[in-house]
Amino acid sequence: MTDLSAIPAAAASKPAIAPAKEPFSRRMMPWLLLAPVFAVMAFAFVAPLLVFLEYSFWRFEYGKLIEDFTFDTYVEFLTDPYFHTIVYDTLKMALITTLCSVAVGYPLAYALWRITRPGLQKWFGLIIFSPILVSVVVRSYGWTVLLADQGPVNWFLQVVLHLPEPVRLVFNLTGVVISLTHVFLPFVVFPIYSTMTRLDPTLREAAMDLGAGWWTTFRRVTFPLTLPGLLAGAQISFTLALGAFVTPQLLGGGRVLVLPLQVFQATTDINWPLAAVGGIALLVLAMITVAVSNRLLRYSEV
Amino acid sequence: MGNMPSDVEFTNVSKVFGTFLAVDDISFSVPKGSFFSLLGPSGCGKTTTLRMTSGFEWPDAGTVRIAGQDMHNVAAYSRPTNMVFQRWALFPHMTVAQNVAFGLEVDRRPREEIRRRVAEALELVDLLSFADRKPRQLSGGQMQRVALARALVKQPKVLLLDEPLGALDLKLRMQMQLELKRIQREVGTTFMYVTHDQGEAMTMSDQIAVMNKGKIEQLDTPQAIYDRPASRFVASFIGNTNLIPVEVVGTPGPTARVRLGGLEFSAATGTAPKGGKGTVSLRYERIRIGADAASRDTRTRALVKDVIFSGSAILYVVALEGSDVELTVEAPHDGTSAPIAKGSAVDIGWDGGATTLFADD
Repeated sequence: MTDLSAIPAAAASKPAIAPAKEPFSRRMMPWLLLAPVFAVMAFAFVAPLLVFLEYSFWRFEYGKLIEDFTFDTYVEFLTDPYFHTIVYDTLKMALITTLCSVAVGYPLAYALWRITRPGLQKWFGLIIFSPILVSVVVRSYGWTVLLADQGPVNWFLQVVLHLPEPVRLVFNLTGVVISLTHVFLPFVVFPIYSTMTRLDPTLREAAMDLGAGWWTTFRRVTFPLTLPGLLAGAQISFTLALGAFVTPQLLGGGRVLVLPLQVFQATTDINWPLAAVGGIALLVLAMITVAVSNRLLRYSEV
Repeated sequence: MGNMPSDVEFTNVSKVFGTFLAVDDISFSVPKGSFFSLLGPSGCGKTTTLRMTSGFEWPDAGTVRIAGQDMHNVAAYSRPTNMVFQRWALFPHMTVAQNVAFGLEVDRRPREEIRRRVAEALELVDLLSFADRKPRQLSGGQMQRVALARALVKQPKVLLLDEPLGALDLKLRMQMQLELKRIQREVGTTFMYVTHDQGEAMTMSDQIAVMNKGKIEQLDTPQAIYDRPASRFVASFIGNTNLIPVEVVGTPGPTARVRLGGLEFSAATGTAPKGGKGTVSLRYERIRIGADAASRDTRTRALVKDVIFSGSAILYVVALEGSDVELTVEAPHDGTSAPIAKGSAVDIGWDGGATTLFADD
């Protein structure tokens, strides 16, 4: 038998060298840089959130706020079919908007990637970026004009395509989805585009060399490898759509009652508990979205 | 032999990128079943030549034939060629088996046949037990073999290899050279191999085309290229050689008389120089030093200026007596005798066949 106790003794006889520490000022540097952000986050995000959480347990009766600790508002929110409809409509709008954004954004990203002339590529990128350069109010009124019954889009549909009557494109879900898709485009295009540019170009050559035409190469190589970018874009689009307020307000024509609008209405009624519960519901939905898409992302990554 | 069947045939092919003439009117043919290398420095047009064979680039002039068929409107995906890429280009989201199966699935082969051929191909490169791994779980050498299996499983007429060993370390590279040669002999497919590493080309090839500035400077067997370089470029690119400025005496025929200081000797004529000056190529290892120099055709005295020990050989830098020309001499190191000391005067000599005369560029 070997005497095991001899081993630590031998190890201890070696000179003990502790890893050198970085100077204090160097170690503090990242924290110092983060401090302003932490301060703002604590003051403008965490604190209001906690206040909101407190409000959600209060009661609202006959136009009056009563400080209490009750789950009544939560129960109401979760059982009343009215709120079910609002949550359902919110998710539906976000989902349709996300599908449209991805359906328009992916081909755009692909085109941007395949354009080889750098000058053209720059202009193309700027055009895709342009929606967020314009104020949301201006953009919404612009769409109102374009999509109105007497607007240019309907003129085209009736005069050129001979549709019997104007198509209702605005002051309903369609108008909201069109406008949101428009503004989310850069958020969808750029994650997809960046995964495309990181793709090894010889992979496409390898696929073609092995007999795959354009479509097979896209379906079996390019698309699966750019899926992480697509999922990232979809996640951004979905969470932004969940929180969209101005666009559904201006282009929904009162027919698109989504959660943020409901929260706003509750605040104007000074029904703070209901507003708080609505806000928390939004937060939970966004967190579920992020969790689900992160899980999907992990699967899609190589 | 006359009409040997060729798998790849280039006739007066040129390729231009913008204003850069990448490939300049080259013609060659690759005999069926041979190991053919395109060798040259970077930018010499060798990769472009390979890519015109695979169909990734289109020639701006001339014709490319593969297995007798004109390829002028045949796209990359319908050519009977497959390629092993420089960084292997394995599909990162597929397993080893899926990578190898890809080309057969695209061809819609029956499932049973795909399974069998994938297994055979992985067996050939000794990777059957790695079938379910993803590329990121493989070493460089293993990825290289997967790329080889993926290309060979399609049974191409011609296998194209674009510096596939460039990213491997030296030991592995030597091992893979022998492995590639074994596989080529085993499957009998024509291999067209691009490299800038002359040792690699020498070891594996049946024929080497040495390229420079878009042109083929010499196309021959490795030994012929080494022993009888056709141009000054080939002489200096392949192996280690002394390039010595000389005066030409008289008119050069198949051999020429040249003068170096007080020394006069004959050299085979590679390219006949115009005027009275030229360059003689004299390989390091063809010069004998010390007692070994005694019976050589040309002999002279020289001063040892430097001694470099490199394991299997010793390099001597010597200055010729009566001229300021310095030559490098490579003597085998047999481990029995001590190297000649720096600063000593020695005899050096070489035979007539060791030298080749070229025109100055």
